[in-house]
Amino acid sequence: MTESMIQLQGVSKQFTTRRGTHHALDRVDLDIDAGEFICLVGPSGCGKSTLLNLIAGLELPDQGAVLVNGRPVRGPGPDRCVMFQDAALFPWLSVAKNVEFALELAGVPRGDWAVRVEHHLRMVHLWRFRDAQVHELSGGMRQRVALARALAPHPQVLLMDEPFAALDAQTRDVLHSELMEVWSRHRKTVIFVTHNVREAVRLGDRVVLMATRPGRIQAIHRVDLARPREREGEVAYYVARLMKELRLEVEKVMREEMDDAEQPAKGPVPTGPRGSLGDGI
Amino acid sequence: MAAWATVSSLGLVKPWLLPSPRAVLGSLWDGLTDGLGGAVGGHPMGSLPWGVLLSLRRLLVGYGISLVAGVLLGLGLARSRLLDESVGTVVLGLQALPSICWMPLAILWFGLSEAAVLFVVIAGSLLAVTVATESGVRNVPPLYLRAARTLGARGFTLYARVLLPAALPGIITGMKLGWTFAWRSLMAGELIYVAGGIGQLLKTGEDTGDMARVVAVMLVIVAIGLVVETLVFARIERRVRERWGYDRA
Repeated sequence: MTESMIQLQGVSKQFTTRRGTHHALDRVDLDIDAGEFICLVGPSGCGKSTLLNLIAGLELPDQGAVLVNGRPVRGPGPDRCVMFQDAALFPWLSVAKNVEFALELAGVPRGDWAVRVEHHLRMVHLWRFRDAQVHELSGGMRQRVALARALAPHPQVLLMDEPFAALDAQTRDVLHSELMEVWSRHRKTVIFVTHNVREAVRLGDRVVLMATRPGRIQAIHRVDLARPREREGEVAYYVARLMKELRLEVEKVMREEMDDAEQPAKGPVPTGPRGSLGDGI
Repeated sequence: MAAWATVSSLGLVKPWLLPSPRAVLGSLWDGLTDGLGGAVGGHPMGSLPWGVLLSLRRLLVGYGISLVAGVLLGLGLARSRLLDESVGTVVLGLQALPSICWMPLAILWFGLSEAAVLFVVIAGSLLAVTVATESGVRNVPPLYLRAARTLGARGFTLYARVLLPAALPGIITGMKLGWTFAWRSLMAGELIYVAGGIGQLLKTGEDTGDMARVVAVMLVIVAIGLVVETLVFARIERRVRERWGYDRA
């Protein structure tokens, strides 16, 4: 195969707000191969979520082209499922019905629903909770249902927009392992947006570092570590390297977000032990 | 009830001002049974069960139309800027108008007929349903729609299977409001436009100075309201609250 599965060619996207025009993405080029696990990392405002939304078809580019399998994206579709930071399960449906609804929307024949629902709920270890209501589940369980719902229609591409950002560290680690297991078995193309560099290094084949104002790709790093990436030392080495590159960008964002003219303290941006840029950025 | 019974049995209040519970119950009983024996006061539909049935039929037809049209209109207002900007203000303005004000026009348009009463009932409840549905739809988290669209929901499916169920808590508020408004409009209409129904029973009570009858009819109206509230709305509301997990807080 000579052509990449997902191609972004000179993609620009602007948002106009009361405070002026914001260049979320400025002439971005990116090729992603089938079966690849790509992580997008960057400070707030770097357009990483916008990039994901463009591939999902939730937004359309102002300039340039977003191609999936050689065809331009015109809107959302079940071949490209999205997982959000919030599970976005439908509260009026039970756990199993949420997954079933995704199959129905994707046009899967009715006869296959029961088997597929069971398979995917077992995969995320929630078959026992098939009749539960959404509000009865914990945050981690909801994200697992969301993962089952996203995978059940057999999408080619799985788009994940900070899906584990709101979870505690232990739950996140468990979900990383489950996601890796699913991914190595089905080899979906995954595009994973996060602000957590360690998470990106643990999961991705390639980590795309993004810069802000205007949003663009700063560097792409291949992570040559064998999976599963349990060895903290090796992961930490990559994290430190990427953090160094990101530091200037993060400081830039901080300067612009502080309302006074004062400069932030000299020296490196404080980075937590987990290599996180902090929550909510 | 006890206070009512004591006050009237001690003769503190003149019976033509406030009838005793016994008189009201007697009147209620008469109303329930007289229809079996034939007409009362020369009017074939003078008895209570007939009146209740007739009123309920008007109510259900008018309210049913309001519900369907109101939900559709509310959905349209929330989702279409064009509709919102053209009809939105009119809806808000008309909502302030008590529905009985439509009666003169309705009689002019439809004559003294069933249609005129129905029109007033609809005018009274339609906009309440519309406004509540509109705000219900506007309050649906956009994330639900984004998630549904990425799963492949579009057009009618998106509206019927995602937007409407997601807006259900708001729509139920509208249903309850609409029901009360429909009921009030109907009573007002029947008090003026005399052709059977509970409102007319009340009116006859007033005209003949039969306060026991007036209070009896009032009790019936309250009872119907209570029954509908507990049997219909309370159940629907409880189910939705359970589903959404609102009761866990």
